[in-house]
This record gives sequence, C-alpha cells and structure tokens, in this order.
Amino acid sequence: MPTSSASLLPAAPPPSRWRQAASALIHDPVMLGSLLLLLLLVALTVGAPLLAFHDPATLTPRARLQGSSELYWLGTDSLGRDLLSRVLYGGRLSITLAALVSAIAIVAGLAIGLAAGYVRRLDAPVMRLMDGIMAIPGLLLAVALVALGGANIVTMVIAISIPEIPRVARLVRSVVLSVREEPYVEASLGSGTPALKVLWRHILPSTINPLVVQATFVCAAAILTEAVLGFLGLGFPPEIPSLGSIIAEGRPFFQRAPWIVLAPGVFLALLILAVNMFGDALRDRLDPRLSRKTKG
Amino acid sequence: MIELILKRLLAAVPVMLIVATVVFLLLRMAPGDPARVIAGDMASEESIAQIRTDMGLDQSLGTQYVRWMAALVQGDLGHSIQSRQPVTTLIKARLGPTFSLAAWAILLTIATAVPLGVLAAWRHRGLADRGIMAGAVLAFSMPVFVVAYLLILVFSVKLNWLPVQGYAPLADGLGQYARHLLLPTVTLAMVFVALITRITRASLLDVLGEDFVRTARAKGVTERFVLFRHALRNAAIPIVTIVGVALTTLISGVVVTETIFNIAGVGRLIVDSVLARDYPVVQGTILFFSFLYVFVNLLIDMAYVVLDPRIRY
Repeated sequence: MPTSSASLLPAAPPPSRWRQAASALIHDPVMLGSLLLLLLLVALTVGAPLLAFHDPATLTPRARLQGSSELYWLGTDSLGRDLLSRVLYGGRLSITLAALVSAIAIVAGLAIGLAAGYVRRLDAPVMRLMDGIMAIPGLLLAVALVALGGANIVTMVIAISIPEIPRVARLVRSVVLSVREEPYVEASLGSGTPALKVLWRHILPSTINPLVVQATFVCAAAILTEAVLGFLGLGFPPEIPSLGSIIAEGRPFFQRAPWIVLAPGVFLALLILAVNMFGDALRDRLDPRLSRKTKG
Repeated sequence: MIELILKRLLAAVPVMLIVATVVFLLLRMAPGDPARVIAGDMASEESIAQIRTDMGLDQSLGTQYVRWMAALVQGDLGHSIQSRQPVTTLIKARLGPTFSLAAWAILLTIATAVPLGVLAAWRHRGLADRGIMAGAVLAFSMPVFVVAYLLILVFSVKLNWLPVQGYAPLADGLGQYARHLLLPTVTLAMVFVALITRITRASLLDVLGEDFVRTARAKGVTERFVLFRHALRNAAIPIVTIVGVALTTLISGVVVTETIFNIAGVGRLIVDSVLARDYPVVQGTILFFSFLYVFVNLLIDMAYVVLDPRIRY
C-alpha cells in the first residue's frame, strides 16, 4: 500500500521565538515600518551629542527666534538656543524615562499580578487596591507626586510608573487565573514542585506575550505623561531640555515663531506614533484574541 | 429595580473609601515634606513648624487619617491656602466651563466615532476601513497640545475664524459660547474619537461574526437592518465600558486643554494650585475627579442591565 513515508517522520519542532519574531517582522509591513521609524528616532536621540552641532544650553540672544537656516537647522528659540539640538536632547530624555518607567511598571505589575492571581486570599484586596489607584486620573496622580517630591528623575520615574502598574497587574492576574487551572500546572504541583518554581517555569512564560505588548503601550503613555508634565511646567527644570517644556517655552511666541512649538511637537507625535503602531502590530501578531478586549 | 440601584450604590462605597485612602496614603507618603513645600523656599523653621501644626501634619499617620476621613464624610475637602476658601467652593465655581467642555467632547466623540467605527466594520478590509484605522492610530498618538496648537495655527492664526483662547459662558450668547468652545472640544475629542472608533469597529466585527447575524442575513434581512437592529445593540456594551474606563484619560485631557486654551475650569485649577503649592486644593480636586470616575462607572454598570437583559446582579 502506498503510504507516504513522510507521514512517518516526527513533525518538525515549532519555530523558536526568535524565528517567529523575524518572520513576523518580514511579513508585516506595518510592524517593520514602525520599528524602523522607532529605531531611527532612537538613533537620532542617542546620537544627539554627536549629531547636535550646537550645545543645547548655549544662549545666543542675537540669534533668537530665527527660522531654519544653514547654521541652525530647525531655527532658534526665544533665548537663541539651537532648536534641533534641544529637540534631540529632549527626545533622549523622553525615551530614557519611558524605558525606565516601562521596566518598573512591568516588573511591579508582574509581581503584583502573580501574587494576586496565584494566592487566592490576596486576590480580592489587591485588586481592590488596584481599582482604587486606577480611579485616580494618571496625570493628576503624577502631577501631585511630582509636586510633592520635587522634579528629579527618581520622583518623576516613580510618579509616572505608579498609574501604569494597575493595568499591568490586572493583565498578569487574568493570565495567571486562566493558566492556574491548566492540567500541567496541577500535575506539577501534584508531583511536589514548590510553588515558586511552578510560577517561574509554568505560569510566567504565558505572561510574556501580553506583557511585551503592554510594555509598548506603557512606553507610549510614559512619553506622553512626561511631555505633558513638562508642558505644564511641572516637570524637569527648564535648563534640562524636555520636549514638553520646549513647547511650553514656545507658547508666547507662537504667532511669531511657530516652529518652536511645532518641531518638538511633531517629534513627540512621531515617537508616540511609532511606539503605538509597533505595539498594535505586535499585539495583532502575538495575541489576536487580546486585540478585542484590552486596549492599552 | 430600586434595590438594584441601592445594591450598586452600596458596592461603590468601599471603592470610594479605598480611593480616598489611596489618595491620602500616596500624598502623605510621597517624598518631600508638605509643610516645607507649602511654606516655600524662604520660610523659617518656625513658620514651617507652624504650618505643620496647623495642618495637623505633626500628628501620627493614624490620627491624620481619621481626621481626613471624618472631614471627607461631611463633604469638607479642606481649605485653600492661597485664598482661604473651602475647596468645594472653588471647585463649584469652576465646574461650568469644565462640564461644558467635557460634555460637548463626549457628544462629539459619540457622534463621530460610532458612525466611523460602523463604517470601518462594514467595509472591513476595504479602503475605508484601512483609512479610518490609520487615522485612528494617528489621532491617538498625537499629544493633546500638538493637536491644539496645530488647530490654533490653522483656524485662529491663519484663517482668523475662531478665537485663540478663553471661554464664554452660555449667558454671553450662543454664538460666542460656541466659537470659544469649538477648538477645545475638537482637541479634547480627538483622542477619544480614535479610541471609540477602534472599539466600535472591533466590537461590531465580533458581533457580525456571530451565528445569529448569519441567520438574519440568510433570512434575507437587509444589511442595514442587520447592522442597526442586531449588531449595534450587541456591540454597545464594550463601547460603553470603554467610555467609563477612558474617563480618566478625558480628565487628563481636560487639564491640558484648559491650560492651553486658558479656560478657567477645574482642570486649570489643579495646575494653578500645584504651581502655587496649594496642596489642599490639589488633594481635593484629585478626590473630586476620582469620585466622579467611580460614580460614572457606577452609572455604566447600571446601564448594563438595560443594555443586556442577560445580566442580573
């Protein structure tokens, strides 16, 4: 009887995560495009000290409020500082801060979510606490914390992370709740594996995909919050270029020199857009189920 | 029905307690000494100590908490340091502009986003769908102040159609009211329109894939009937949920919008108070908004019962 010999071979192992990622990138133009844009922006800002031709803090009052020129590619601001270098340094600050906030929010949210999802007695009180924090508008909470703690990097990072933690925690908790009931977890527990090991080896891996997606959205939110804080005058001191404060400084001169507001604004919008688009594409790829319910 | 409402109200009380506690704890435990912050940089040690006693900050955390809660239950949100007025009075005075702005923004959002979402779902994977989704991501990513300044540049500076800033109450005439509110409303609504459009589309797509829709179509029901009578109703729940959750984003947006357009609302009050170190006002307004959020979500929970007969509490 003609039987295909190929059917007797064991099935090929599923592609590794890296292969999956690479294939995803190649086949999804949106994901690739947004990632490239993001990398470009990050490269520009990281290379700010090399790329910026002028020191962002040098005041040249004679050259104030000039438009784009040979010397100053994006023009100058009200104090004669080069706008291009200020925007690049500001972008650097935003990205660094966003990365830190993202890391903290994810780690904290993961810990809380794991605890709440796994330990039944902790579930209700912890979730109530998270609900309470979520009820406070994130911006206002950040504003209040920065007002009290001062506008230094530590306070800013903490103030911006705290409002993001509940959402991450909820996400992790829901994953833990569903994975907890799986047979392999039961089997593992039944054969005497300590709880922590079960959490680490069996439950944690299921949280990685949604967490990665959520991390991108937290990043975007952090960039935005930092910019708003700077804009409102509640962020870093004005000597430190931050995209929000550059825009705020440009407000009184908007009619004369709109580029002071528009250049950092466009840069900011592009940055947030790239992160959001990448996060969306990532979510569609990693967990199409998720794209219906949660929205970052 | 009444008992349902009462039950839900009762369930909301613990959440409000937690919110009040969280606000209290977070603000008390934040690094930095409120008394020093309030006193300012030039203050002497005695005045700082005096402020500390006045505000009861020298007492134990437990005592402070009890005093805070007791005052809260009586509706006392404290007094402004700057103007010595009760915080509640300050908020009430500024409520009008904020409410106008928020209400119009929500109406605009629903009027724009739902049709757009429906269109996108209907023409799934078509040009309209892709275009609308691209627009949505763009609108969602633009920070409020960028949108605001772009709009101001086009409509106020170049075309000179609309005033750059300010707020005119309804009493000043409908024309003025509308003209001043138009740009701020559009600015505020933009992020929401993006969000609600996406959710509407996703939710509608979910529903359109269900069996009963297929049956309806097989029965020969017109597409329009299917959309409006069957699909949209079922899609309403996630949309309403998101409106509730997105309320905090709305509030944040209100704060920025009021600052840009120089509208004397509650959002601006927060910013001004923070800059002036008027700590009780900051605390009081945060509480106000948080309670508002809890209350609105409560209303939404109750709306579920109307929208989905399967839900029983």
